[in-house]
Amino acid sequence: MNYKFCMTLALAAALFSTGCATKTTYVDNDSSRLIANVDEINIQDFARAADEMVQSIIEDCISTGDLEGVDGKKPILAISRIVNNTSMQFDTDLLIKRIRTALLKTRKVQTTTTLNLAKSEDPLAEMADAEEEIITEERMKHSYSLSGKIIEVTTRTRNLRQSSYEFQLTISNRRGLVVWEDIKTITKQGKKASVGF
Amino acid sequence: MKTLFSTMIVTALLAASLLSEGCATKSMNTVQNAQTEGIPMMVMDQRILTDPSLSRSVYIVGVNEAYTEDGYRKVQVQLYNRTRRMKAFTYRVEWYDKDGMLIGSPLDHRTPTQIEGGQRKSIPILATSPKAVDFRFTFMESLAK
Repeated sequence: MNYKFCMTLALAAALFSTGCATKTTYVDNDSSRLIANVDEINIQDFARAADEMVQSIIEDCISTGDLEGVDGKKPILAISRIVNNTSMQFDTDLLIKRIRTALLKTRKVQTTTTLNLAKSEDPLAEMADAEEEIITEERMKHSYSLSGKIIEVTTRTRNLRQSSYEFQLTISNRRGLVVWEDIKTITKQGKKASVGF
Repeated sequence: MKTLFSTMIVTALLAASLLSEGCATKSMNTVQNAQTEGIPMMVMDQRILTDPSLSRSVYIVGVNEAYTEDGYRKVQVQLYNRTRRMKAFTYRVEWYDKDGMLIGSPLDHRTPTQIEGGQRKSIPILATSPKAVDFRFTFMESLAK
């Protein structure tokens, strides 16, 4: 009796714990089942902002021939200051790296890992570049630089919160003359985080 | 008795008018130039509709295309909400190269948007790859409630 009771209890516990166990599922990055937070920039927001910015750069800058390199070579685009003016802590590379990757794939622009305002992305390449500079007595210069800001504007009513994230990006030449500029805004409204959008 | 009945009628009418005001749907009025100067290049499209309610609200009027000066393909889907209610939905564009292979990108995402009742909405998308020759738009009803 005791043994049967214990076995039944153990079986029930096992079944119960299996039913209560949290399940991890993989979600595609372009799925509509990703979590959407009102007070955060989610990964899909970075992808969307980057995509719209790249489309704008291609249409209004690359396709029009406004980006010109030196001596017929591809123009070199460096990354300058990207300011995070939101209440979130995030790596601006979530936006910038996507843009850089897409622009490189157009084969119309040359991007760099050493000519950036922040610490060099590739220390080894930076060392090699420094050696090359000594040998050739020629310093690699960027043709254009990408700078920008991400700003957060929040507002709320009694029951609803709204957050707008404005992505402002600029490409300017070495003299600071702007060759391209655009603003993309992503606005989210809700009471709390939700799965799916 | 008569007074009670009259009061009930008036109350019922008042309640009905208040309720209908709250439930009233708002659709969009539009005005544009009658003789358009732009000549869109329409694309013959192939549609696979599996969600009839979505296709009523997010009706695909047509697809037109253009090319940038540098040869990048741009397509624009024109949508029309045939209902009087706002519809939230998401869309995604996939691009394919000349061999029919999907062109993947770190920019791939699904975009949420809305279309108001009676609204005509255009969604222009530029291919960010020079290899893109074909496209596929997918539309889904928004999962958010």
